[in-house]
Amino acid sequence: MRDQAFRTFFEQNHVSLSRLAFLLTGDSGVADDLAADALTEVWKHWERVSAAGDPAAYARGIVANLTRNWIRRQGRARRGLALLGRGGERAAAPDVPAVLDVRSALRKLPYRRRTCVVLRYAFDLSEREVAGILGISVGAVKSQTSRGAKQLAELLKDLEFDPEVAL
Amino acid sequence: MNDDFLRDQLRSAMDEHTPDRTVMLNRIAANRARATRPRGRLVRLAGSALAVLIVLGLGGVAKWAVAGQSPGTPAAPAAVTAAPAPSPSPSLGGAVTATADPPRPVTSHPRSASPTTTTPVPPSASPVRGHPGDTQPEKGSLWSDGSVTAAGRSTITLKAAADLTELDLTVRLTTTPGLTPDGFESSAATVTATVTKESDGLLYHFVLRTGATLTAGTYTFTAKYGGGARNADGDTYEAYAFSVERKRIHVYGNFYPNQ
Repeated sequence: MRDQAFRTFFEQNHVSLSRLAFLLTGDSGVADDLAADALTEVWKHWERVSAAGDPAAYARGIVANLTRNWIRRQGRARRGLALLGRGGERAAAPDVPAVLDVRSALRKLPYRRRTCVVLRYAFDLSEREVAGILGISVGAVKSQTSRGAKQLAELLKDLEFDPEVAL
Repeated sequence: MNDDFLRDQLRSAMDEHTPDRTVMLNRIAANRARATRPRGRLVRLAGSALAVLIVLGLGGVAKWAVAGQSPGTPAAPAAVTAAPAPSPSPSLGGAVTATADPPRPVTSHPRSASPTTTTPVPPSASPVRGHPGDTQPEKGSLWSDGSVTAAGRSTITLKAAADLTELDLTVRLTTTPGLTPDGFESSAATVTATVTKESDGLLYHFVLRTGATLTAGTYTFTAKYGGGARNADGDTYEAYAFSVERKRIHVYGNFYPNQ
């Protein structure tokens, strides 16, 4: 019963959850894992989650949390390497072609903003839905989204006006 | 215009990633296999406890043997072996320790909100103190109280007699059927919150912005949630603060009505 229902849920949602993790991390190698871990959480709490009404929103919230944790761990690991003098290439790279595509532009946004922008624009969710997913107020979603959209548009300005690159 | 551009850009970026269904299913299966085998860990734990016990016991016997059977010494090994003896029971009963919590007060105060069900919520191990019998609502210049102010609203009131330079307040709501986070409210603009879902509850984490000061006064912080009437008996809060008198303050409590 539960497995059947969860299976259906998986089929309906695994693509969008993995893509959410992909946009938030910018890393396609880890997106499937993060989404699968989130789906495992959904499975563990299936009775409660399905009773609560919107398992997809719950799953997205977990993806957002797991992703944030993953990004933090990456940051720590990188700082560790930098301390050991290994992170040299990163610092040495010229920062002129800083933004090559949407993904690297997204990565420059603070995490909360990035999540709001992605959920609002890529997933077309309402402010209310995003607030529920992230456990923050609608007002916070509004301000984070508008700041994030502004910052992202700024970063992508060159893409917008250069048809060559936009292609 | 601009919005449409962002939407298109994000959508097409999203479509660049094609998830591997099989990889995901395999990972879920592996996660599930790990999750459904908690017993294995318990058994291993018991095994290591037993090993420690044996080593200590043998040590005691050896010591006794070396001591050379002098009539006075048999008492010594007994003492050595007796000490570790009770250890396996707590380690075996790791999951049971929750029952050791003090019983809740029997006096039935009418709850301010929510006609609660009578099924007691088992107190679970939580990162927040403040379970019945383990409270400290007032410390130094800080006074605190937790109450369910309306359905779906659990409010912490803090009265600070001195300015606070740091505040870190965690409200923990134990899982009840249908419990979903619905944001928060803070009467201080410099205090914002995050909500995280734990396997057995919701954690609302209110933090005073770094560098900001909360002037002496009364503040309320509300955890909001959906799910209708619920039993708040298992809910707790805990706050760490630092006052201008350079005192670290720690208060914690629950949502029982004050006596």
